[in-house]
Amino acid sequence: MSHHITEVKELHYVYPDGLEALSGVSFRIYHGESVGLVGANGAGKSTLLMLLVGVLFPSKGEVMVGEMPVNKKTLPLIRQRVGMVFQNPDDQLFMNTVYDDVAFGPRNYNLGEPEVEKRVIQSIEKVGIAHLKDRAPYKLSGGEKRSAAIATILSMIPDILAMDEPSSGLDPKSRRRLINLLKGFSHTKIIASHDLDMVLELCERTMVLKNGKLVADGPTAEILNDAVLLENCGLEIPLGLQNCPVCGSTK
Amino acid sequence: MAGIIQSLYEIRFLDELSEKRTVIHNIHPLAKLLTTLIYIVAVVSFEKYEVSGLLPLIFYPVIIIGLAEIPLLPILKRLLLVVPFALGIGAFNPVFDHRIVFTAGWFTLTGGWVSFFSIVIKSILTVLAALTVIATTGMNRISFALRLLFVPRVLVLQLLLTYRYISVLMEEVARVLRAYHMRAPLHKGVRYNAWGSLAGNLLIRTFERAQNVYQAMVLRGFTGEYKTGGAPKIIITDLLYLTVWTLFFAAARLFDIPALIGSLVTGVVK
Repeated sequence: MSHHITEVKELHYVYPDGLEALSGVSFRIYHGESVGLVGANGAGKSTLLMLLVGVLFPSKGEVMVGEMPVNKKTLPLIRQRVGMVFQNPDDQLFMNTVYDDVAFGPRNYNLGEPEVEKRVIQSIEKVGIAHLKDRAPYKLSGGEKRSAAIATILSMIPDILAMDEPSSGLDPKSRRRLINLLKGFSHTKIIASHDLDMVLELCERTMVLKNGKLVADGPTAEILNDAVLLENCGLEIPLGLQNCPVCGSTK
Repeated sequence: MAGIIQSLYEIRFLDELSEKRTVIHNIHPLAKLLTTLIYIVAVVSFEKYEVSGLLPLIFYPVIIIGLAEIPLLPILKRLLLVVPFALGIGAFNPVFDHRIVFTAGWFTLTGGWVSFFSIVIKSILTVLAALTVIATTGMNRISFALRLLFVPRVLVLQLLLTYRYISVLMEEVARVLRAYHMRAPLHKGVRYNAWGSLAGNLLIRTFERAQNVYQAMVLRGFTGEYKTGGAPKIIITDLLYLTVWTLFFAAARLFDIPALIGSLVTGVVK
């Protein structure tokens, strides 16, 4: 199923102020894979996600989604296939009601109103906020906003979900709900996060970025157990893999 | 500062009202927009010294507010914001225009006062009409109607995004001010030496947020046309709404209805 492969070749990105955010990143992500993207602040995670959806274009190198290179011509198709969930759901919710927000994407693709409604209802039911349909997004709680933001993406029926810090700012219960929700998705997932415990639960594969370079790429269980690697990259072993902080018993 | 956060909610208040479903809300946005425009033209077209002829036109906003179940108090509060401007514009009329138009014993009414009241009434009526059309239609649907009137896409988009970003700007203002007051609890306002950096910071932060919002829109297929779901068809009710109101405005403009009623009553009395 080559058309579901996401491939990045020798990707370089330099910000207008000269800061090199990514230098020579290459990887391939296969259909249905769930990949954690970890790294310290400023390692290049968000930039990489922005390049995947064509908000930014590489200074050098290439991004391929399916068999399509990401460029200005293919953007409408790329954006239908790759759904991006922003770090701050407030940026993503801008209509007057949750319904209109979730319908915004499908309507832009000129779907008929019955189809739009079907998609909206399916999406909000999937993330469990059907009862909030007519509420104003800015009046929702943090967890509800996150769910609404995810629903706005699901309604476009993407193949790939790219998420920037999906668990940030969520209380433990909302975080747990989010993790369970994401576990139920069969999409290809690329999750940039500092929440390594979440990455451990959701992703079978993890990529580590450091100063714009991909320094490790492999099975999550191995990478998140590598104390030296994580320490070098401004990270630490996730709590779930550490010894018990109270009795000291080994994991 | 609580005032700013409060007004943020108030900005969205009109939008929330526009989501209601009443007889008026269900009228086609184009019919409502045209009616409002005709109304405003009718009101403004009255001559300088006209007061009594304007009075029947108050029925329009009153009826709409009643039928659309719009809470009166918040609308009047918004109206009050505009009144000072009208007062300012008309303030010198009584000073300069001493032509006497009416006397009753010791009481004399000058042309200046009449034109002053005329200006105040006109501004109240036009602002009320504008507020009610937003509260019953919503900015998105008004824009849709503007597009039907062949207003260029760029202009409509400007209007919509400006409206959308006001709240983004206000949120940033609230945050910056909160941070300022946390570290300057004794200051009543913002000290002048912090104005520059505060405003500059605010501008950059607002740009950044606006850009994020824009990116979120673009990522979901936004290409410059704000689609608000299913273009409603104009039906006979909409045409009737427009026609009846237009006839009423025309009648109010052409005939001095209060004077007519007055002469009718006095005629009957005679």
